[in-house]
Amino acid sequence: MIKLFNKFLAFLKKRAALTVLILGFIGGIIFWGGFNTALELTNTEQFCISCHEMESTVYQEYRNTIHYQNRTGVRATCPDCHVPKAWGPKMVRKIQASNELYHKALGTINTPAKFENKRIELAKHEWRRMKKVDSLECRNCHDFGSMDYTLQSRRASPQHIAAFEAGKTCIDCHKGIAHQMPDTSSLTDEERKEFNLQ
Amino acid sequence: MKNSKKMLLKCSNLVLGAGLLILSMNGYAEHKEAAPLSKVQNEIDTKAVESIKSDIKSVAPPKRDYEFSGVKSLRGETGIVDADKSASVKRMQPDIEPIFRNYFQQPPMIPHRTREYKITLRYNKCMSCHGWDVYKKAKATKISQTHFADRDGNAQSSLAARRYFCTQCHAPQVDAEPLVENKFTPVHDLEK
Repeated sequence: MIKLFNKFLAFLKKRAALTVLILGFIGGIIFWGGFNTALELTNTEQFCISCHEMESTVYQEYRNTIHYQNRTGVRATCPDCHVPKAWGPKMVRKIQASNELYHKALGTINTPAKFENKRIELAKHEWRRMKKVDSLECRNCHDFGSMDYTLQSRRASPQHIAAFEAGKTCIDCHKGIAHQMPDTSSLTDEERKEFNLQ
Repeated sequence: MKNSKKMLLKCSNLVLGAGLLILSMNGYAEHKEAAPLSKVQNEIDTKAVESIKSDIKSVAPPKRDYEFSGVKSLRGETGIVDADKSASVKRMQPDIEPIFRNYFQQPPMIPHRTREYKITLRYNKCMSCHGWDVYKKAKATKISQTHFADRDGNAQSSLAARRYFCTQCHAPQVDAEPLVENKFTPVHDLEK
């Protein structure tokens, strides 16, 4: 066995290019696996709420909603709604999110009162992002192509049909479902129209 | 080298054996001590109960000159040492037709689930369907005109502050039966 390995080494010494290729291949797998593992680690609820800013505000609000606790025990955690699933958009979102580190250092929203002042701005960011991707993160689970309107409640069914016919997307109506609504009194008329608010 | 390994193995076996022996002896000793104690305790208990029983016999039961009203404690028939039965889980009513009122001036009850509809200082979710600016579009009931007056009767341009917290008067319903059987019927004009 050892002899065979030595022979293989001698063979490689004669072909440097092949050696580099093989080493690069193995190294690449290890590096990529490690990178992916680390990336997925930042995509867990535990990581998200590890900063005080989230744990004492938005996380507490989310815990009272149907996406946290429900009859079937299926749970949608932070990244299910806030991080795209596809690799490219996910990387873009992750890089954008590094801005949060900067504001963590500045302490922009490190108290509930400070967070409250910024709530409308943060909400607007997320509403715009959701609208831009046609509420993709909602539709990862709630695909309106697979909705059975006859099983929906007597108020939801006609609303959904009308909304989809009008080309609306989930976030147009379903705001403040996982976190509480901000005070919308500061919005301009244009913004109210944009966010489908009266 | 090999010899020392064997020695080590033997030693560890010995230590293990000794440990087990001590453990089992301990257990035996405890068992021996515990048995007589519990016996004595039992004897004392039975004696005490018997003496109490004889006391009860010697005293005549008080004469009752009234009918028992049938009032039960909140625990009902459940004894003090027994665990009470857990209450059945009440299901929130799913979306239903508007609920008829039982008396005049009764705040209308909420005929749908309200779990995700938060009323906070910042935002009142109810008003996103029941407000006068949206009720037609949302095909919802509009809030009463009385809700625009403050406590002095002055008309306001929007929902009065004292009417802001809808669920103080309006409540969603569960599939619960009335706690006390009753023959209440609404007045003629409110009958279904």
